[in-house]
Amino acid sequence: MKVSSFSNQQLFENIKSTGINLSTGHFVTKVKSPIKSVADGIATMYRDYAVNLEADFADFHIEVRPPSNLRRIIRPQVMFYVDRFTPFKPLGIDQAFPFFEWGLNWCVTTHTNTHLLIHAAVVERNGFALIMPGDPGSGKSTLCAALVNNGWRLLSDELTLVSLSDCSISPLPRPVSLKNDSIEVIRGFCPEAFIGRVALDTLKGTVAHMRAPAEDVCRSAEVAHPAWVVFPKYINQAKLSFSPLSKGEGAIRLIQNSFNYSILNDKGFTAVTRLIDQSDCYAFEYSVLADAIEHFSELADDKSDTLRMA
Amino acid sequence: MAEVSWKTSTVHNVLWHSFDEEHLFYNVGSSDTHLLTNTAKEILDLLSKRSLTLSGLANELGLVKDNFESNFTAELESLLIQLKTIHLVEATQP
Repeated sequence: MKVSSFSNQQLFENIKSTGINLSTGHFVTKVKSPIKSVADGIATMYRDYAVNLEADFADFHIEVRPPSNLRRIIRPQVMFYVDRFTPFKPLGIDQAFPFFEWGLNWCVTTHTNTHLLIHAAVVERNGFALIMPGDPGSGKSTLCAALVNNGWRLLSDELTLVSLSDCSISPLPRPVSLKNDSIEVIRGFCPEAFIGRVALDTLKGTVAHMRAPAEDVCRSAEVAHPAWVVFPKYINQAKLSFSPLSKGEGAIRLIQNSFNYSILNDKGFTAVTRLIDQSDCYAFEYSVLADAIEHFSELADDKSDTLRMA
Repeated sequence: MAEVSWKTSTVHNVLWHSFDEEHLFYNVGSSDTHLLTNTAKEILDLLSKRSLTLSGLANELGLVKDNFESNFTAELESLLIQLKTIHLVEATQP
């Protein structure tokens, strides 16, 4: 059963009363909330995801609800709970859905040790994964959103899950988080993309989410194999620059962007070295999205052509 | 005055992975990871077998005397100090 099988009101009633089990790629999340905007956000941004009302198991048990004090009335706030524990300070109620998104990211980053977890957007074309690690503001989510609307499959805009056994990349397709100017950039560049409600004045500035393509959600069990590790950087007015990095430097920069490398110990080291052995590494600077898309499409097609000829 | 000798730090359980001319070193005990050049790797290999003075190390690395007496002495010493900073080698007094 998909989220879209429910009317908005039915979905809200379920999320409010017992909660729903939402499948997002590798994880199942139990979501419970009495806040309508959370249910509405799930209805629009997760409409193609599988949902189960009666499953016994969920990786994360999340509740997004107002605090039980006077803040319910005066400038209402929202709290994020995971397993009844609240790791964050409350936010304004108008940020309830983005809070759910950020909180779910936090759950994945702090609880996942079955995979090497990298802070990176990752997309796939012809079976090959393009991994784009980057700090906030590097333009990785914008680039990811543009690629996803131009022939690449969304694996994740934020969290790359690398298998410890064979280095394959497990998809975690969720709404793509767009911030500030990138919201209008993607609206202009990809008019067909569905972008949800804009939340103003959040901790991250103005925030909106782009819905993951339905086909990419359906293919969320289909792994991809690493081929490129690219460190993107958006620089206003910059000419496109694509500079090879040595594998050693690529490995060190990848480790710096990993959430759980040290925790995984030798398994983390092995996963990084295997991934880098299979990948070409680059530093990438850009300012014009269309040029960036063309460049990556050529890169992917060249690799496929080379393999076909071989 | 006798020359200082150098030896590898007592680090058990390390992993190496080589990418062409670069070498990734991983200390399983501390999770420290370092990217080393060919020369640094060669120095660690030599010092893991026995402690050596700077001149002894230069000889083992196959440096001709002319080179050894030029800037390379300083470069080699600088490299050893960098390796000491990241706890991969240590100096021992004679």
